[in-house]
Amino acid sequence: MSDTRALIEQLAGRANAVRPLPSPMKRTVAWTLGAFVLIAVMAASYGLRPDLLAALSQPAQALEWTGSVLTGVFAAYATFQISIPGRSPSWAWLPALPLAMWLGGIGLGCLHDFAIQGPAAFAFQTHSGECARAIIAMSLPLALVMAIMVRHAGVVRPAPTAMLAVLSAAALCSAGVSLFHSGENALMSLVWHFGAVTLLSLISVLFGGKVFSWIGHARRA
Amino acid sequence: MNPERNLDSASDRRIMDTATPFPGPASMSETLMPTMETVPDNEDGAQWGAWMTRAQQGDREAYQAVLIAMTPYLRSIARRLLGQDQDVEDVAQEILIVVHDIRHTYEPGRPFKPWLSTIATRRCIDQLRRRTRRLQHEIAEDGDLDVTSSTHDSPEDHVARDQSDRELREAVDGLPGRQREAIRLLRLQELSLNEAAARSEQSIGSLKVACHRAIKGLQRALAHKESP
Repeated sequence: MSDTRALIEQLAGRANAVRPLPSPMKRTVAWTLGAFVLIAVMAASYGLRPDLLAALSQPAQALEWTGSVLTGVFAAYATFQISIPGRSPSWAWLPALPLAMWLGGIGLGCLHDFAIQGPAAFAFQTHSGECARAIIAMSLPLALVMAIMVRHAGVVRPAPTAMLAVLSAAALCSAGVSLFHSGENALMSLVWHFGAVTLLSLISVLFGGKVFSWIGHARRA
Repeated sequence: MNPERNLDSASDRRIMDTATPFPGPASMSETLMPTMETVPDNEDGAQWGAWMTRAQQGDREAYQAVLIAMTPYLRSIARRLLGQDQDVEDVAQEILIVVHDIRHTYEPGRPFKPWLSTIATRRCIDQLRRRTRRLQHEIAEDGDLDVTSSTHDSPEDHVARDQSDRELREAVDGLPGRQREAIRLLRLQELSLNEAAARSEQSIGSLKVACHRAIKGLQRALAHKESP
């Protein structure tokens, strides 16, 4: 116990002033703005798809795109909440509604495609795999930035925080890729966009603890 | 007065809560004195939160006060989750180090105890995982040792193993101070880099370097002993 007292004195002796974290709302706004700028630069460098306005005027695609953007924003807010000790873990469910909206938009798109093209609407388009590659390539650096922003989460909830952080980055990137990539049916959107985001999020659950133990305060148990 | 002893009793958990507002440095010793005044438990968090807010602004007295006040609470969480054993004090120290590392995540004005108990509970769960792993490892090792000693170990093997252990201990003792400390904290006590850095007052970088050099030094020392 004298060790504990000595430890307290050591810690107190070198306790400099620290700046408390800004609120989750402020951090979400900052993160979302940063991600929007990066994604806008990427979209501008590739060039916006010519049929963008026409595509977004269709209810199914508008619902799908809005769902993916809201998933990214809500997942970011949830990440900033659950990464702080003492906050309710229920925040992790926040992106569930926009995720359902996103999936609903894709489902509606599949029905729309089927009504127009028949069974051909469900043709597998391997060239759409570029979408998944672009989403992964854009998501990884963004997710790393997010992980650094919540590196203290390693001592609280590493796996759910990592999953939501990656979900946020990947969903926003998916929305970004939709701005410059076209020519795929709704089923391919499900496979390559939603699939890539889901895959990345699930992988991050497995590696979240390790990543936070490298960059944060978590120790290997 | 022995502050550590005073802070261990249940009534002393309220020691730090009798002073509102927070006293200046001159009255810190008075604040640490035990008192029988009853303070409702729900005021603990408010007082600790106020101290932590001041600690975030660089007030070291307030920081020391909150760390001292929270330690019995951390021990009680650790005892509840881990049972009574020597791990409790180690885990309480680990939690204090984590609190130090992420004290910027406490948002002034919000309830303090949920923040603290989340950190404490999480560290206890990690400790339970570590203990389970250690037990599994020991059981596996015991199994290996049983087979080895019952079938293959001769008295000469025992003597040779004892000698190896002694040589290793001597080689560690022969290391320069910082290297010896690094190898003991990181390899023999299996502390994390953060914990070892907090205990040794060395930076993580210098601990890594010291540990690396210590291992090289041990390899050289033991190779030298093995060679005729």
